[in-house]
Amino acid sequence: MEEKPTLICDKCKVELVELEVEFSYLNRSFRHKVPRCPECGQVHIPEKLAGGRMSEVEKNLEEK
Amino acid sequence: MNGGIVPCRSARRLYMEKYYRQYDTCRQNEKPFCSNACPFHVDVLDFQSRMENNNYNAAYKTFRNAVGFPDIVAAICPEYCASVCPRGDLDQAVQLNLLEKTCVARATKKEPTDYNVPVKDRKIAVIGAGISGLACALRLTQKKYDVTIYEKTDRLGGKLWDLLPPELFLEEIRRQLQFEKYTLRLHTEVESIKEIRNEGFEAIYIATGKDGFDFHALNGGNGHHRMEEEIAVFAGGSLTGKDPMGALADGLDMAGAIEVFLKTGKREYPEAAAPCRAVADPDKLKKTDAVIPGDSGLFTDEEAAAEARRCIRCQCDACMQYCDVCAYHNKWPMRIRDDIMATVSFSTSPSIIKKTPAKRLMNTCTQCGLCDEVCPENIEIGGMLLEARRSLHKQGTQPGAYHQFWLRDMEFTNSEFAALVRKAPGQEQCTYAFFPGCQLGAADPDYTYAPYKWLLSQRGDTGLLLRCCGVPAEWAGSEELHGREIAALHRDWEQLGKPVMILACPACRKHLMEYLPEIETISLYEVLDQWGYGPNEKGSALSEEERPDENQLAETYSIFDPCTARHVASMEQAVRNLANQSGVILEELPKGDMHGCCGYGGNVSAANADYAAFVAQSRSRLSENPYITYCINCRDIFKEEGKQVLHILDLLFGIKDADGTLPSLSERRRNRMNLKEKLLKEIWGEEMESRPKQSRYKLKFGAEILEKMNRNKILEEDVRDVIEFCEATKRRTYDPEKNAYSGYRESGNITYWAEYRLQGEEYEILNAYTHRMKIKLEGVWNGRKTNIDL
Repeated sequence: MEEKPTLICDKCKVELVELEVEFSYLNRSFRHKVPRCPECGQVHIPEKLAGGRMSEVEKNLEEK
Repeated sequence: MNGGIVPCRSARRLYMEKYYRQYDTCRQNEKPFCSNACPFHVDVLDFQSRMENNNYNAAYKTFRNAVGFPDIVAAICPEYCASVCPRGDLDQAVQLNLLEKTCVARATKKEPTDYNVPVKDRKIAVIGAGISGLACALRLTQKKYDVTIYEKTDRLGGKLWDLLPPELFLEEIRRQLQFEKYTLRLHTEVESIKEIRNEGFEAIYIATGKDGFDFHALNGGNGHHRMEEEIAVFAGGSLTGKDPMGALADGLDMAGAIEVFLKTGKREYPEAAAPCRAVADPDKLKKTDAVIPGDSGLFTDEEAAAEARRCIRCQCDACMQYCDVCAYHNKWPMRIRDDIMATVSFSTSPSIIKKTPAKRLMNTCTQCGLCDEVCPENIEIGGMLLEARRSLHKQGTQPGAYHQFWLRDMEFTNSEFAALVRKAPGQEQCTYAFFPGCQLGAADPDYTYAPYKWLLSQRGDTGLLLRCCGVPAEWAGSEELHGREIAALHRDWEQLGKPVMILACPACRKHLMEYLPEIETISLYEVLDQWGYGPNEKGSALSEEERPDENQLAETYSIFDPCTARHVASMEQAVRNLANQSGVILEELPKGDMHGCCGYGGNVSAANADYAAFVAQSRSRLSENPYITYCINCRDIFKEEGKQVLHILDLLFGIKDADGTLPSLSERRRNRMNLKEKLLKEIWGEEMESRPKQSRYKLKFGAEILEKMNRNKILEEDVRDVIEFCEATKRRTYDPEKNAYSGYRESGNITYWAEYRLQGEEYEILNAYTHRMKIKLEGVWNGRKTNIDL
């Protein structure tokens, strides 16, 4: 499996881990695992996710 | 002024209903002329598309479904369709009968289908075994009714014996009825209904032929029918004066009428066809000689395909040809209407089953208004789509990200940094005021500066109004915001002393005429033409090095009239006069100004970028020639497409197009500020005081990243906001491998992300992207929540 790059929360100085984050769009909420600081909750959404799956879900929700 | 009035909910519904009702007269399902004239209403569109592909078996099925006995009809049909075919006036009507003959000769699967339908215990009598009676019996027996045919002679076929060789029609009758059960009583002349009353018939079809006995059913009611006690008696065929084809069709139709009676007790005599409301598209009608078959008298495969292709498939489809929304989505207007109604009705429903299929679609309409112009019933698809946007906006379900960019752009244009309301220097009154629109100066400050300087040289009391006309708010469906914008524009106009507004943008003009009809307007181009702007004045407002190289100009241009100038003859003519004076050769587009928007209108590209590209490409291919246009948005869109294009002001004022590239979205903002600064300085001798606060962070963008940001409508300011936020709060992540930081900031309906690297004092921007979803973590960071596991 491809190793995910290490990302560090600049505030807490700890490594981000894959944790569930709640997203909302057009009055609907859903959860997805993304790199997130286990201490302060800071998230990182890579461009691949934003332009890929997220964009797809956005488009679907715009027609739901 | 009606811009500030926001209709209440019930009024909103009425507007929607008004648009909904327009579709009552939609001609989408109107039969083509030939089908309408045909007694059988053969589905010619379907038949021809199959013949074109030499799919004779499929074409045969289509034909048989309509006529019952294909071999008989192909042999004796007198081609009623030929007299109504629009080709008739041009070359020769499509030879449908010959195609039918070819079809029945070439089809290899002619056996009917033996449908497994439950037998029905309902008895029907058919009197007369001529072609009409047999047709009625065929349809009823296919549906497994209990049919008895009475025939006074000893043979089937009636009049057909005089018209066709018996082996042909007897074989055809045998073939089509081979799987059906019926009782045939030859040598049985029925003289009155009473004779057969006790047989248990519920309906009787009288098809006794020309001069036959009518059993008193002729003109018995609204058509040829009556009741005899409990039995419905229908009469048709040659008995009612029809020719053989009409008689056959009557038999088929009467089977339907009898079935309706059996099911509902109602006697509905089939009505004659209404006049045809289809519309032939003259563009498709190109002279093509009829195909002459060889010695066999039938078409070969190639000939059949060629003759089928001569059929232009008449139907009312102007909307599908002209309206970009219909064409791109491949949806007919009635389908769009239904999708819109579902979207408006269900968009607040929490159910995920109820879809809102047109949320994006309604936001792709460019509001060019071509739909109702080309529609013979003037159905306003665009009006309904805009109304639907308003409804969604009111419900709070309109995706905000679709219009956010332009609404913020409008806000900036109307801010102190770019907006300007001024009377001419030293003047107390303005007879005229120049209103260039928000995008002209953004494309290049000279587009506004040069014409204004010339206007001042002609009329020293010409004021200036720099602001947005407010149309982006209308396109977003926000009536409140739109009302405020219109009111603000009205105030500015009053402040100038209610001058005649000289408009450079046809879209502003159209918008003002609709919402502020009290403001007298005239286009800049009419003013230039009428006030005598001459070619010798070219570039007079610009210095030598600002002027373009004249050798770069092409010789022949096509005039692209912006959709908002469609039918505004005075403006269209003025632009042509001005261009002609400049020495270029002008050509008209094939359809003049009858085309849609360039793709800018309606602010559609955030809702569907592919659609916007489709529209831009379609318009840029109307002619091989470079274009001259007079809407800066058209100019920009075409230039983006790689189409050679000039704004008429390029030609008149020699605006120098420095490196041939369009300014980025951030540069457009700077251009607006620079324009205001230049005007204040050069015209009014003032310094501009208000400029946005400079960021303390010095950002460095590469060309590639700027191009990407521009494509995705990310401004340099957006990225700056992210960096400022990340740096101030330290809410950022660090990637040791890239030695780069990453962070985001939510702005309205869009979340902006930036990846950056510190290089001494500078922040090198490595990447920028967006998403529309919101990250629900704000409460944690603001200390309102301690449980971070939301």
